[in-house]
Amino acid sequence: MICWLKRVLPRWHGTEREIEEELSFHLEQRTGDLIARGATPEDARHTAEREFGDVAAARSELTRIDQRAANRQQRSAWWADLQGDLRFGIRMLARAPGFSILLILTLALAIGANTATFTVLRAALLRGLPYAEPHQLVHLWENKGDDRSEASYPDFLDWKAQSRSFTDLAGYNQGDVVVTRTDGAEIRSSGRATSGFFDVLGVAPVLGRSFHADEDLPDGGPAVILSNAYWSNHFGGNPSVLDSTLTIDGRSLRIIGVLPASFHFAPLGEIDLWLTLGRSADTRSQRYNHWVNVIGRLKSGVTREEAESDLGPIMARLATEYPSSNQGRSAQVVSLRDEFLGTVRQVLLGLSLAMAIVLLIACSNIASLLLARALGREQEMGIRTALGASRWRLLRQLLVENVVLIALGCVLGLAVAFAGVKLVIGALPESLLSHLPYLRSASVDRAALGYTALLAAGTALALGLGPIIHALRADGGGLVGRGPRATASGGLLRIRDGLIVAEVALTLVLLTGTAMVGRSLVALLWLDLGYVPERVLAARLNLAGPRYQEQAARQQFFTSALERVRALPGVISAGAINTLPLNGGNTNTFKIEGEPELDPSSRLEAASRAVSEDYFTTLGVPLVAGRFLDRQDDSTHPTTVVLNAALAQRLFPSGSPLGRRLRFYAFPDYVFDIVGVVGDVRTGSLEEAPPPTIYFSHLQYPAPRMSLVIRSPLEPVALAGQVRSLVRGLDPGVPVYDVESLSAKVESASAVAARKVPLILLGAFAGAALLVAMVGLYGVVSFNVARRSREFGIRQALGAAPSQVRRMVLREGTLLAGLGILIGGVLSLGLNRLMQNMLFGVGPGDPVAFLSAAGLMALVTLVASDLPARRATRIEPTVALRSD
Amino acid sequence: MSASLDLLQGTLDLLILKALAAGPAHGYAVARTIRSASDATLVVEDRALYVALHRMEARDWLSSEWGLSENNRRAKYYRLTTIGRKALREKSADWTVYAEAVFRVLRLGGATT
Repeated sequence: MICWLKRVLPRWHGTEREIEEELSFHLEQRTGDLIARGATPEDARHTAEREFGDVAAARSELTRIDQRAANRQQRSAWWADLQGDLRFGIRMLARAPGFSILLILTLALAIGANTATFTVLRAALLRGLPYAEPHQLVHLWENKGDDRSEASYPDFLDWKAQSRSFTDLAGYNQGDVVVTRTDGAEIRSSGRATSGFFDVLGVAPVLGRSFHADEDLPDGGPAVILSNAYWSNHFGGNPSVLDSTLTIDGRSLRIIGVLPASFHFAPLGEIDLWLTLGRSADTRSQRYNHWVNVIGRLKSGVTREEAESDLGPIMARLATEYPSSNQGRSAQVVSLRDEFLGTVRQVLLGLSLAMAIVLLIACSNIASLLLARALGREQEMGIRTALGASRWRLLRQLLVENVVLIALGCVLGLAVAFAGVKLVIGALPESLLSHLPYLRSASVDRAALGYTALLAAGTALALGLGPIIHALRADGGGLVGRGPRATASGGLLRIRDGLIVAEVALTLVLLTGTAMVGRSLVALLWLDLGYVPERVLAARLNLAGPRYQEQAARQQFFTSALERVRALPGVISAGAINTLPLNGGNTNTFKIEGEPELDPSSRLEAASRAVSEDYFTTLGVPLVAGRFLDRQDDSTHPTTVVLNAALAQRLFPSGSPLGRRLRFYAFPDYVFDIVGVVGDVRTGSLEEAPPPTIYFSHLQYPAPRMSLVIRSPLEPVALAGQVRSLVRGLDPGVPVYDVESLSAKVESASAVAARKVPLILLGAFAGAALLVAMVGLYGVVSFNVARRSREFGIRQALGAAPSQVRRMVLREGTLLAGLGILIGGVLSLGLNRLMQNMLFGVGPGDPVAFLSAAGLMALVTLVASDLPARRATRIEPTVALRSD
Repeated sequence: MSASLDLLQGTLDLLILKALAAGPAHGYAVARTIRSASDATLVVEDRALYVALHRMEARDWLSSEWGLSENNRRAKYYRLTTIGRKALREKSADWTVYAEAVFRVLRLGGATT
């Protein structure tokens, strides 16, 4: 204490005045001595000054030495103080290890979570696309009303020829292909692109060239470009691959180029082979057929809006020229990056919102803990102010303590961030990652570290501010001699209570969100699909190539494949369908025979599927009326269809559909008898209601690709090997792929994945928030109990029952929690609207979700305030009264 | 004055430290001690003496405080610090070794001529 006081006292030595005094003392003494030896006063003075030398020079030289020494001393004192503060800060932290560990862990969690989010968001949203001048790249769409669609090929050609905003436009599409090699056939993902596609992106092949304009032919040009991965996996990265050929869909295509390893085109995911755009000459001439995805590169200086208004007049001309196909259509230009990100943006923004809430909760918790400590230290601060410590000194002490805390929190936080990035990327569905490949390589880099530092500095300021302002206002004399219990000031208490209310409210928001998403997921998984996916294996077969051009050949193949599958041991039944449930599929327009013709825009439309006999029984789809399609429904018999219940109900609300007939606009020469009605199946996605569906017999409506469905009491996947070898035995050129159990397919459906990931993350956040809020409430109530221990002691001494004291404390805690729950509930209602498209089977403000979240929160807050409440009842009156 | 010697570099510090070894003293007393102890052989310019005092104080070899002189005037008294005492020991040892070495050389030179 003494040396500390000495440091604060004003320095009164080493000044010029002192030097003057010292020197004049010397001269006077010398003069005096000389006079005593007999010199005249004048001579004596003279001699003394001569002996001394230049007095003025001495004066300035000494001043300089002393000044420098004083400065150095001040600096080293400052450092010594800082070291003292640091030591003191660490001692303070070590004195309350629970408190400190709690603070540091909370900080680490908050800082780590945010750094991780920042890293992932930066990788996804802020990093440029891996193309040359990516800001010039755009995606073009044809709009009709609110419907967005691809361009028709003739429209695309007109845009390309007539627009002036683009250096070039290019089209692309996707379609899987069968690659036949000496060792068998396999399905490969392939992109289809016009010439100029890679030039628009600014990507040059590492080997060979890209497509020439004269290869852009109907039915596809004779050239193929390999992805780098396909090249190294199948050709060992051998450069002599150029000009060799590859058999694709039965045609022999020349390999003309290899793309760089870094090349990736997000909308199509992982692509092995790039072919020319292709399609038949008919398809390419149809203006009503929308199938070309168009990208373009803007001329430099041209904006997206300018490009859109450049296309406007072109579309208007086309509309007048071709009203039947182009009436009401307009062109839309979207930046390629927005196109790539699509729904990912929402997921990531939702994620970062949750992270931000966690940080808010963590910060308010830390702030309230620090406030509690500040209240407990009012006495210390008061004494130090009274002893002459400057406010700046006290402020620095508080800042240093916060810095020690935050530095420790940051170090741990970085560890959390490293783990967090891995966790988040691991939790993202593969489908998303394949579209955003650069997310895989996201890591905590220098920018993220900078962000962490910024975050830490902000946190330090925000956290320190309350206690610091308070300390600055602390009035020295008044506080000395009074205990912390008596002095806690109302303002700080109110701030701290407000923080707890905010914590509870924000935690409830996360809890409610989790509950809502959880209920949606449960609703999805318990959904009546209309079929029984358990114990069914699916395997897709693709009959490409010249051998299966004839419909009879396809039917023959599937029929014999099914016969052999049924003969396998352990197979109960087997069937086939051209498009499995949850895989999308096409629709057809039709009319009911005997009813009046409708104008083209209001024609009846339904999903259409080709199925084999036993398809419905294998999947467990019930028969509602009539009969299932069977083996008689072949080319030698009248053409037949089966409707699903939804369509039957819509078309014939009162009568029976059996015996009625349909005619399809696509095959005007045939009439189809309705022979049965089957149960509804969720075919599109889990979320959509079963669409109206018409089933054909594959013997009358053959498909080149079918999925076998096989029911067996065995684990379905165990049959996979036998099915593969059976098909190979029939024709080794037919690839078998997408072999999986139907229940796995349901579980991995995008609707489930789109909720599972957020549910896991939300749940983790909500759990962390709950823990933090519980600790915060516990801390506040405990502190209040300690503060009022004398009061409780007196109350009990005066006859209050322990239960009364306990109720008093509980009331305090539950009041804060109740207010928080109320506010959180209102906030959640607002946020529910934002997450509406993630909900399924629950309305916003779902009472079950809200009540269970609020109930859990209430329970936790009750436990958190009951522990200190019990402690309050154990206060010994005598101890409490003596403790001051 | 002509009989006096200019001081070798660093010697002044040693003389001051030695003068203060007996106890605290003000600047004038230190000057007097050096003059009388060397029988006025070593003449120190007073200005240089004070510069050395302040420099050694800045180096923490000396500390100072104000007190009253023999004739009751305010004077600045210097005293050796622990570091200063240590410096005195080292410097005087160095100086003795140095001086003996010089002596040996000089004697040897006298014998050969």
